[in-house]
Amino acid sequence: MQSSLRKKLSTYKYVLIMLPGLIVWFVLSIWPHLEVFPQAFYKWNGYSPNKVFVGWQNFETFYRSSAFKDGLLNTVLYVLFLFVIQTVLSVFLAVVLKRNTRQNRFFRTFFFLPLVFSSVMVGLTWGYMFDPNLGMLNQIFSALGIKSLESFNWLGEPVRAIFCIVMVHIWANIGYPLTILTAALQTIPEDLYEVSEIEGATSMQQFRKVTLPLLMPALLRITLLTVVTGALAVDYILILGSSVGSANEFDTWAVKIYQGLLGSNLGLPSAIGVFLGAILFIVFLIQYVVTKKVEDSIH
Amino acid sequence: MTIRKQRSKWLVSALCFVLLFSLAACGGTKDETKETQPSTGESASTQEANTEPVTITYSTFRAEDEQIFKKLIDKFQKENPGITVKFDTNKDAGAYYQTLKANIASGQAPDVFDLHPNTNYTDFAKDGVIADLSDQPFVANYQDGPKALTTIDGKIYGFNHAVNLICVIYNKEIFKNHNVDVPKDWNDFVSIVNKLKAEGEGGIAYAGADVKAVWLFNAIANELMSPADYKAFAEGIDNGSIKTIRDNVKIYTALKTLSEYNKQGLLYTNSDGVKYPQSLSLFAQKKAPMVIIGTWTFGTKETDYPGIDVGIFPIPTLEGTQVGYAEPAQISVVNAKSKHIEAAKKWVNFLGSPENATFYVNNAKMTTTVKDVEANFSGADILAAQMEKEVHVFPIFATPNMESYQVDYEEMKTNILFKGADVDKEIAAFEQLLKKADLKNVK
Repeated sequence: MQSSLRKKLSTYKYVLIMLPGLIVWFVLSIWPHLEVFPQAFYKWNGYSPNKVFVGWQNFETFYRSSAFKDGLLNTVLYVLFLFVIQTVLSVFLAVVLKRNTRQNRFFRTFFFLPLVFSSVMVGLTWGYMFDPNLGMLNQIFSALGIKSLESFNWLGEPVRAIFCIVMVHIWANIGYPLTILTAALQTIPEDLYEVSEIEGATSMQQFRKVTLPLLMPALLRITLLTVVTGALAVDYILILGSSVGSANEFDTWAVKIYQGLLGSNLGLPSAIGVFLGAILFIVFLIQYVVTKKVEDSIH
Repeated sequence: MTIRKQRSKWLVSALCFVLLFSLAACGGTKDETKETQPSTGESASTQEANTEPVTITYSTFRAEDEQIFKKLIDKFQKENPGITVKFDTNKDAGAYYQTLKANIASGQAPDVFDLHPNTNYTDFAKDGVIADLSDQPFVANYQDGPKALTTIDGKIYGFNHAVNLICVIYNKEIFKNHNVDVPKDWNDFVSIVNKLKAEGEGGIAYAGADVKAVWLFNAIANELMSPADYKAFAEGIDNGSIKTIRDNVKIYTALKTLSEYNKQGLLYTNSDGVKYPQSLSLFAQKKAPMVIIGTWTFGTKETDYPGIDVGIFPIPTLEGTQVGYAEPAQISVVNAKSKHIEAAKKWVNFLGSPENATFYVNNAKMTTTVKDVEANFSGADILAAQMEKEVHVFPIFATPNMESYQVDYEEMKTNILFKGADVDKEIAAFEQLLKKADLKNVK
């Protein structure tokens, strides 16, 4: 019944069904965002009737500033740390918690739980943990007799700070990729494991030859999400960094956009948004091509 | 079939492209409002001639003062039965200003709102967003310092409620136990800190993770030079007329002082990793005998550093320790396009009257800007004693190009204060970046 109805519906009917939602989405979400493009060519404080057309000046200003190079480096580092650590950890946890036992269900909920906390709360709590003089982390190391970490300044150096912030990000958000991967794992037929077991495959070989290839489509989708969320992450960097808006050594481009929005020229954060959008679009294209190839090879 | 497949592929690509750019610019649209046209000028006098009850909105970022303002509103409404004041607050300064700007752009700004001194006050005044209050009664009660501070091109656009000293707050008991007193000069200061450290006390607590070198530098530079000179320097950097920082002896000394704070190890260990609450904790737990912070903490001292008998002294500089430094607290301004502008002005005049300013400063525990106000809260005498000496208040100025160099400017100071970087090398590196920014030719 359903398939016959589906056959009757032409492409145009699908479009018609989607149209009301698409219009609302476009008007309320896409259109305001598209205004970023022309905005990047103006100097405007956000309220004044005087919008000054400055051509490419906002792009130039950003490109010439150290925020361009440093911010890009920090963004790449953030995304890289997030991508590598979160992917490895979520695949590992998904495989370990694959079986639908009571114990595993508890742990899945346990790992998902931080997602319900607000990022402000998570950031502030970890801010206390990282404090070099009174923080819990250093107190633990001190109790363990590790003298070198007794008054360690976790956020005192950019790469180390980004690593620590990414770990907080992962702690708070690991539940999301874990849920997707757990669901993807459930779709892998048990027969494949049974056959491979009969053929004498070890657990590692099963993981490499069966689990990983069949997880790949879900993993690739998570990859894109990770890259986008990493590149746009603002909350943890701001909360664990300066609370008064001063620049941090570990600020990413996304943080610069946020800070720029509080400044006197909205054209500048718009220009950064265009730069960031262009890079993310390239990443998307690469991911799209790779996903297509992987999916074709599986099918 | 292939063509259809190709077409759908492109359609999907185009949709994703749009989505990605939307995400990339996430958050940017809250302020992306349409260009507004100047108001056709709704006649305020016509409005005020109307005796019908009116409701005005007062918006502030001082969420901690909500109970104080609610009491003041009750009193105001009793005195002015026709006017209702709706109180609105948002403690998150970023969200407060985003909402405010969006509301100004859409013509829905509150009738009266508060501004941080260096956040848009000058721009709002020049763009006609806020009303000229020069002829209002509260001006007669206004002290000369804040009056000059809030004056732009000869006009007063706001009422600055109070000022806060940023200074060294010290634990009197610890000082007494170690037989040390308030420092008389720089060398005295260094020897006091070294003595305290040698006898098992910590350095000076400072929220370097939050405020970087900003508080310390602003305080030192403003103690060393007059507000007018500091303003000229800040604006000179911003408009590209200043190319060499070293020529400004006071600023150079301020940077040298930052360097000495590092070399002498005056701040608490790892101060660049200490956040605001932790700096207070170090002081409250008596791990640090001193903390560099604002006297706004007097309002919350029973929770921030309970039971500690405190004294204050100006942040020492290489040239001495006598001149104090203060930052203005919030400035209440009136929306120039308010439909109830007279009622809005009435509310500001009410806040600026000696009687109500007394109520405000005694509850918020800050230093008043209004004449004939008697402060009687715990610690008011300490603040008054410093205010009687010379105090420089951070000037109000506009720096429209700040985004171009702010990161590098702050990095220069941070590197000197926390990493012990060479002052001359840092200045040279910053000046190179300034040259690259070419601020003189920015439109």
